[in-house]
Amino acid sequence: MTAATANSGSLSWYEASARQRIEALVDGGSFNEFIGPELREMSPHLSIFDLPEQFDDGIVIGRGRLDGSPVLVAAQEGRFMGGAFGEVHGAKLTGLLRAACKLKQDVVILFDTGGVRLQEANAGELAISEIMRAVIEARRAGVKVVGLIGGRAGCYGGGSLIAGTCSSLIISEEGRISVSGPEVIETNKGVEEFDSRDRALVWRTMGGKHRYLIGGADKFVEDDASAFRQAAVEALRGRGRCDLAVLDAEQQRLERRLRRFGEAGDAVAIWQAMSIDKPTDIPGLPTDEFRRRVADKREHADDAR
Amino acid sequence: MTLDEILAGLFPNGSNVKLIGMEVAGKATLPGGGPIHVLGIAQGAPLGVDEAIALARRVIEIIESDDGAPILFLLDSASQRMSRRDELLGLNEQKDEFHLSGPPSE
Repeated sequence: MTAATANSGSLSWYEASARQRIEALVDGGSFNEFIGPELREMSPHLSIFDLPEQFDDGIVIGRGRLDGSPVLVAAQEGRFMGGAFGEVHGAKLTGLLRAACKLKQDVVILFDTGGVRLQEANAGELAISEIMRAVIEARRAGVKVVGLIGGRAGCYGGGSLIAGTCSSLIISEEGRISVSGPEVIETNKGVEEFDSRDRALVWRTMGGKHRYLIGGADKFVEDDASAFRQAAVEALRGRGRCDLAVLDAEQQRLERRLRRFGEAGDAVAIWQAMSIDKPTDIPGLPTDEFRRRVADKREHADDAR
Repeated sequence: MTLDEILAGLFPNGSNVKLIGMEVAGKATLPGGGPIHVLGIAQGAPLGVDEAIALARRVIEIIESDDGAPILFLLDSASQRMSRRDELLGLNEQKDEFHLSGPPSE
């Protein structure tokens, strides 16, 4: 850690609040919030449903320094409505990304979301589209957008689509990325398709280890704020290109994934096809050993982006 | 309205648009005379990993052809395909390859 760091001690990313995560992520005392809770920019929709509002609408945005460099930061609060996107929540992230594009400043997004808020679904879906476009425009302007995933709510629905547009993703074992969540699949397709109460199935289908193994996430870290911080510093040193060559490489990577693993019925079968030694051990391995064991076996997007 | 009726209504000067499975792809002539690409999903089909990556491939091919023609996207889709296989294979990435290369909407 550099002298710029005032953060010490260990903090579980999974357990921490959005504000605690930001505090632990950026250089000590460097964070300035935009549109803070004192401005009370709240959802115009929730009161119609007699639902509690929050002064920051469940997302904290602002600017800080990371290892000395200025960075724009957004953190979702998974404990407010499962971190779901509503109109104001989404607009705050869109605005931050548009500012990043103009200012040519990199962005770190701390995802913690179940997707779009059902009570303001249309506004939320529109927000997802606006955010995805803003991420792409920022990346085309040379800005890096790094996503951090390891919160309670995971990174589901529209959040997972935004995550996929990022320059790079950092994930912990506790992190989950999926368009349809376990309950959504079970409700729509039945328990035979997906048993949402089978936690082991959830983790190995959508969890951080599987995403890291198939190249859906770029760095795998311990559930610890300082590990996320270190990985974010490294990710921001990456190239962050976003051009036709990158898109082409991504296309080939994803087509190859479907060719290689398209017939697999379970994550363990995919890990086996990757020639990973004792694939059934993967869920139980501690972070360091896991990373060591899969280092030369996992699929990755490093060449692509 | 059927896809054929929609295409005939939109493009009286003619179109060469095919339905391959649930995937719409082809080219048409605008009323003003210029060319336009037509892509889409038909018959309320859900978008899964296979469909998303196939559409992304088509968009990249259009970009690479550099013909400057716009793309019309016709959408008749239930939603994402909600399945264990699609999520296992990283539907969010496959869909995003499509978003990154083309339409920026969900």
